[in-house]
Amino acid sequence: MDFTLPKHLQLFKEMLKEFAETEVRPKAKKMDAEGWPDPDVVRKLGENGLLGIPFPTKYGGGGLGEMGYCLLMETMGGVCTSTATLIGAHIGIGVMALYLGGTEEQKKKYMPDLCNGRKIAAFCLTEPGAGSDAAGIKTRAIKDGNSWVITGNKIYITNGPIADVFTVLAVTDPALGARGGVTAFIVEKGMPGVSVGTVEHKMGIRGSATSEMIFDEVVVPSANVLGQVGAGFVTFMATLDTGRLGLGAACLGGAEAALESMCKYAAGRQQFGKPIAEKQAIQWMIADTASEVEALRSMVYRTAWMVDTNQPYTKEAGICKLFGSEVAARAINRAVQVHGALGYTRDFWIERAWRDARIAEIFEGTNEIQRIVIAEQMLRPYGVRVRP
Amino acid sequence: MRIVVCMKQGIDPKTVKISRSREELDLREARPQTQPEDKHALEAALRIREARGGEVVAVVVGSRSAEDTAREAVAMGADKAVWIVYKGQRSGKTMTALVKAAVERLGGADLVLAGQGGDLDTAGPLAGRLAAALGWPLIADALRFDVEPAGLYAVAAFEGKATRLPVVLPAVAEVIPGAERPRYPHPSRIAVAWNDGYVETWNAAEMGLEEEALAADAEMGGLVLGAERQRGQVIGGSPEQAAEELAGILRGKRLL
Amino acid sequence: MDFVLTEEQQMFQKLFRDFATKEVAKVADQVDKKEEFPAKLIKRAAGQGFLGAFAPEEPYGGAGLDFTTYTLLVEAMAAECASTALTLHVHNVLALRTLVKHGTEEAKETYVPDMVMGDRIGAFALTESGAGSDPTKLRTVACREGDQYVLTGSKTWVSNAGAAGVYIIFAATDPTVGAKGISAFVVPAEADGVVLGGREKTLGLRGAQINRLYLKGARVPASNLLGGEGAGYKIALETLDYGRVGISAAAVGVGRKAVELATRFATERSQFGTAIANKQAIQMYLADAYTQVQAAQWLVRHAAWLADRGQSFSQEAAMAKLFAGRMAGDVTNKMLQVHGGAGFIADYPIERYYRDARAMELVEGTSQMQQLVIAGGLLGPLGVKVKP
Repeated sequence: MDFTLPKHLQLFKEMLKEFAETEVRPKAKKMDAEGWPDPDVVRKLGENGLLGIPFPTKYGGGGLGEMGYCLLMETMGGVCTSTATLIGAHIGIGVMALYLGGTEEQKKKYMPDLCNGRKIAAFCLTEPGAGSDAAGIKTRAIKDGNSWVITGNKIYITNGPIADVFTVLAVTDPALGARGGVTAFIVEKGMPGVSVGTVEHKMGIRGSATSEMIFDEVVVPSANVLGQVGAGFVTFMATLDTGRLGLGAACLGGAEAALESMCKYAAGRQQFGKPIAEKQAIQWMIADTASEVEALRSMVYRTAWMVDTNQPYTKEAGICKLFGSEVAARAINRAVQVHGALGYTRDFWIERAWRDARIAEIFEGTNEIQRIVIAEQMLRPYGVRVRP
Repeated sequence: MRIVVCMKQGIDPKTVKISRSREELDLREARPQTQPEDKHALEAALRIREARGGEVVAVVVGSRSAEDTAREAVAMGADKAVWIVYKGQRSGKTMTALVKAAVERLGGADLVLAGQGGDLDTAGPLAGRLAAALGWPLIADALRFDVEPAGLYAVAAFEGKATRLPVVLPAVAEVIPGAERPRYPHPSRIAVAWNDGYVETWNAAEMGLEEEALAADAEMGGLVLGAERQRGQVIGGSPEQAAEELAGILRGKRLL
Repeated sequence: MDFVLTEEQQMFQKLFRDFATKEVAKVADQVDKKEEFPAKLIKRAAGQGFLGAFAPEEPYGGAGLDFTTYTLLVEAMAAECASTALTLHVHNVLALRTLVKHGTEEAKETYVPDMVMGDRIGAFALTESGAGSDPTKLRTVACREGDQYVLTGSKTWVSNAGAAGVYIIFAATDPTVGAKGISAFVVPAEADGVVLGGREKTLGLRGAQINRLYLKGARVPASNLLGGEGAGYKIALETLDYGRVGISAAAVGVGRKAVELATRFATERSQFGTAIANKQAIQMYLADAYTQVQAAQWLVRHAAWLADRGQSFSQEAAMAKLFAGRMAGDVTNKMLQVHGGAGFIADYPIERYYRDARAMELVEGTSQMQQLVIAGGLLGPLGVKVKP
């Protein structure tokens, strides 16, 4: 047992903190107000190597593994949830699908530009009739000689309007269903038939761009089949596991920031002649949050360690996402309460964080789906098959 | 072209407390950090290398935790770092002797850069003494360097004005914080900086330096504490709210 | 960084769990229903070295466990019988460890070998009717008379009292100076003037011998003083840090086994033509409970790891105790619900777990005391005085 971060990751954590405070925090409020990511922030993330953190350096990545990725998400989650979301959609699922499912050739071709931010990725799974239920996909890909023709609509695609490379899941053989009949494709922005549909107006994470993506008879060469024909479902499910862990890490950052802000504000705010931090009612909220944050931190780091040491971690990733999103929601809700009216005003970041937190219980698989993932792992030894 | 950058590990002043009762610095929670001033020197060196090629070597003097500064220099982009393990007091004389010996052991250098002395640095400014010891010209208060076909130019703060002058190599320059902020360490360099092959560990004896050459020529005479300020209160929130709260506090104290 | 128990710790874990399922499980139901102290079981546990956790092998024949390994012992025992776990915990951490750490050579030679062999069970007497979480209000006094101390007063909530061969007793040697006047003594049960009072009838933990204790001029040699006069408060606080982590580990054991019981029950119990494990409502319960147990377990692991490294862990101990105590209550409640009506009858063990779990929020400092410690740790550095 050793909970100590290795030296190089300690330096990375410091670097992240400085980067986030200098380059991201000053833009967070503006991104939320305008409902759009700041191109400067995206460019700087890329230039400083932060858009390829977990991937091997031979593909242009940062070589810092899942632990490095979780530190990145933790830091951003505490400063700007929208930016964390953008990074999560790009690294955690968009590029990750390419990395986990792609051929060596595809990785060499696409990953360097994606890791340095010259290109942004988006992960296209959800449809009006398919989300957590990936098997209900309607988007079709039909083989035509040496190409595939993809037609379908994907919704709630994070980074959709700003992405250059899309990993798209489509049905290639309806008779085979999810296992074998679904294939992932690499689709590029410039291909005829690719367009951005309705852009969503969201309650929170407004600084990340979310839209519908329309694929209208997009002709994609066979070389763009991600890995093997029919392997798409397996690749996407594996991708979601790391996505969930990253989200858990972002929630950790959000909860830590809420805790820190609660303590600072309560220590300074005077009521009845004393700082409100001297009141037990306030202390209880702080203590409860601290305990939950501490538990979450160990679980997130431990799961990242499991990924980096090639152990199965589906259940643990589900736990980090489920517990993390709930802890973050409670922490930020308590922070609003401790800050009083200030926490409700749009001048202060807590209000934004409160709106941002809600999505964590929904995306990357709702918390109900996480519970099913966890229950499935628990009940399998008893011969019970858990179906959503 | 070889550029040597002198770097030190200091203490993050935010983690230092002052014990007024004992009239001393309370360093129990002090955290080491790479001197921010030295990072400016490293940034200047990296920019010269990017423009005209060559090699950047960070030379770090210090005890055990100073290795982290050497690794950080590599993570920021130095080709390699030399960590001179030295546990004694780092006076100006000591530092000059060690860095001069290191430059010689490296097989010479074209340019040696140093930052200004830090807040809690007992060694004082290094560049001037080093230039004298090496017998090289000194560029004081350099803000940045321009690489041009005609050669290398330094832009230095001279009598309050930015002045451009040609650099005659070899030279020593003292770099002060200019417009260019030091870059962040790059993740792909962070990933390898703790691997073998990037940091060489040397000591004084290996470089042929006797104790006498390193003996401190200055020592800490004492600590002068400034006037104590009353503990303040930080009022957060929007300007409007802060003003309202301030007024409330002043009214509460019957000052309004 | 690594999150795996050492090989030795894993070996111990297996040993503890084997003993628990083979020996402890057999008697757990009887211990609860007859409210009896499992003397034979404890003697057998002593044979395995479980009563000498913190005594060094030389010269006392103890097991010399590290603290992480010790938490595995408590966790394993609590999973089968929380009363037994509490008995072992009070004996090992509160009594034995305190004596080994602070006792004079003479006192250690006299009592430690007997304690290790299980011939003297250790008990801990701090709480009084007017002092518990606040030990500065002790009314038990100890007066020096020549080479002896004479103790007078009464104690409540003395765990293991009914079975004790030796007590750690806290008394004021100088009642005028508050905390600084408290001293700790090791007192043999057979000393004149040590009178065992009535046994508490408890909601759960019915096998634990929790009694009142009267000291009517009980005399002990001066060498039975622990750590010098006035050291008692520090000893109590330090002991409490270890004690809290131990109780947290017990809570994890209770929670883990409750989840296992409910999972098994759900796969066996049929309603509407299918095992209730197939119902989502049940799956959600199981997943939530499992998640909470995991979170508590990692709080325990982190705190124990810090303790083993000799770092301060008061804050982490309090966070573990706060979270794990609540977890045990919440998880056993949910798992009882999974059992439906069966959970309410004593034929199924879950109702015992539910009653036992309630203690986890009370012993070794209530949840509210933990909140205070945690808030103090966070707010103290900001200049806030956190007072009970």
